[in-house]
Amino acid sequence: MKLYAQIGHGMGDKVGKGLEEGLIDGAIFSPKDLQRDTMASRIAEMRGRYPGAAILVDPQFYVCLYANSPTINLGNISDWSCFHIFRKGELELSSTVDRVLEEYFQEVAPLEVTSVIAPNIYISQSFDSREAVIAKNFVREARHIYNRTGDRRPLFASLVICREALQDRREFEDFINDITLLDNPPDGFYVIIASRSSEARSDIFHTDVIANWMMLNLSLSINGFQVVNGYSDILAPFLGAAGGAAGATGWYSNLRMFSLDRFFPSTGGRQPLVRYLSKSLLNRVTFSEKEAVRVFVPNVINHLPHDTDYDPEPERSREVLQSWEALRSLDLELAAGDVAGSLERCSQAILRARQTYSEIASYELVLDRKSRDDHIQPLWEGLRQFKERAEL
Amino acid sequence: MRDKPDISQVQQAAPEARSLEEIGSGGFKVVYRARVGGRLEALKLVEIPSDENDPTIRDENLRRIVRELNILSKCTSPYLVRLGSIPPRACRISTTEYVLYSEEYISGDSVRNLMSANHRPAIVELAGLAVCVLMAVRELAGMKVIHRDIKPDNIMKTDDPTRPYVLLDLGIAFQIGGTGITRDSARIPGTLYYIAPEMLESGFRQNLDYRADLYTVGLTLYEYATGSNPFAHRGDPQFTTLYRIKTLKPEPLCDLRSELPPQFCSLIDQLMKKLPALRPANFEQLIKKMEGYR
Repeated sequence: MKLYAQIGHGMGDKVGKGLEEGLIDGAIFSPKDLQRDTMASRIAEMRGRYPGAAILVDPQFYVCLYANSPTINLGNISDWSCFHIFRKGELELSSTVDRVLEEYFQEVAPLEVTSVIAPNIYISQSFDSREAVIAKNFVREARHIYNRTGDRRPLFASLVICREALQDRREFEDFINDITLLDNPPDGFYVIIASRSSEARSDIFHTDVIANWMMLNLSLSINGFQVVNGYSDILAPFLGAAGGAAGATGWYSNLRMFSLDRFFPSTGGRQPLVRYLSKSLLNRVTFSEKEAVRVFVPNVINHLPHDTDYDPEPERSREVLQSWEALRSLDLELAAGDVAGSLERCSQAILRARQTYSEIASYELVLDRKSRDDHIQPLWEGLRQFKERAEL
Repeated sequence: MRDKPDISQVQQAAPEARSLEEIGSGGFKVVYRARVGGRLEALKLVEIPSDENDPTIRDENLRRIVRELNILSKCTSPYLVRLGSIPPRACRISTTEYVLYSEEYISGDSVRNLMSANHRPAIVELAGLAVCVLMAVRELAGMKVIHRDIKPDNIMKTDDPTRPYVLLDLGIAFQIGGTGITRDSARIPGTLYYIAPEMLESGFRQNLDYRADLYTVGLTLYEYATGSNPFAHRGDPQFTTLYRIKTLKPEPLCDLRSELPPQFCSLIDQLMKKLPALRPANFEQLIKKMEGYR
């Protein structure tokens, strides 16, 4: 599975370093966080320096239904002339959907991206909704409109889905039955599963959400689509085991897990602590926790080159390189060449994490709320449920 | 078929056909070998279900049969049976209404007969069958038609190298039978064993697509390869079979035929997944993969 940088503001030289060191395979740019001209020049520069890198732009059109909110922070999205504020009723008209797609494709065409991601709206509640109907229409129309542009770069349709929608199995299965059978399909899908808030980690680490996100990857990949999982972070290697082609994560928590909060002013809070992604915990721990735990439980350390950045505590800008490196390494460990074999390795990785947490507990070492093992059970159950439903 | 008409009555209804000989029958149809204009053809008599409380059902069914036969007449795939010289027409024998038409007569053995003779197909043969049937299903899917009755009985192995396997019987009888499945258990056709799991969902007609045929292609290949249907066991109640179709994960094909290429086996297993979205549905990719084993 490939790993991409999910780009937000404060890009600095992180992505360049990640590409240079082979920790990531590409990058997904965000219109909100970069002025259009700056983005164009960054993309051109990246293409020149790293010709093998995948470069994508997430259209972020999914905020259009919320753009009327007085507190919304659209950043630079409004630089894009194709971006308008819409009401659902307007997007129920195919002609409007076609116009949005057409305008977006025209505007993205001059950028030197390697593939084009088509815009879509956010499915905010359920697959049995007007939003889901509109979203399916965007998916169906994307290829048709794209072909008119003569652009030959691969086309990805986007699916931006709230985690609640993934909790209704019947509706979810009807939805995937629909989108896996298209008359005029795109080459792949850019999938974002959204949490209710950027702080609600347990939202995404939920059995049904994990199982269905994996099902989405499996069903789309079986049908020949490439699946790029935006904001997938630590789940990326698991989604890769289910058939996903790529995952993405970035340097801020709002680039690791998606929530519409990303488009609203931050509620403030303290500066985040530098964390270390431990493969054997399938989680990040703070620098001080890592230092304390490693004495008793040495296998929390990955023994990868970027571990040396953590002696002493690194600047925050170095943290993401360690994350990418750990995820890349974890992905290589989990990939067995076939889905069943990879899932077996996923199970082993979760069992190892459970065991490592037990060892930490046995030394009565207390971890910060975010560093604890709350993700282990949903991950285990999600994997079990996925295997059962996928008949694997 | 219950209350099969006497062959002399069929002869009267189809005076252009000669030397009728019954060669098969199903829940709603009888098939005769007949000579039509000096050529051997398969004469088919399909019962039109009707409802005395709702006369529109009969008309709707008749229109549907004729429409599907018209579509079949436009198909060009050599792997699909062609229509014969008797175009579809309604006829009444005693008190029952039928549609009568003819198809080309395909000589050879059905896959069912080969199975009955304990024939154990090698990979080349299985892949050849898969390619022919997938090409036939692709053509039907292109016309928005679902066969609905792909099974070993409906695939003929011929001596003609240009069409080594031919798919018969557009499933018209089954489609008609489908209306009765939930209402009249006595009318469940023999094809019950080859029903795709999604067809057991309420309201399946709205969501049915050609992946139901891909499921039965997979099931037919699995059964041909192993010699047994993973869901249907002799003497089991129908409910048990339906329950298995809906819930049982068949034993992986490679466990039963370990000498077959593992990737071929897993492709067949994948075609039999309960959820249509989990079946590979891209014909080009599927056919290309199967071609690789021929």
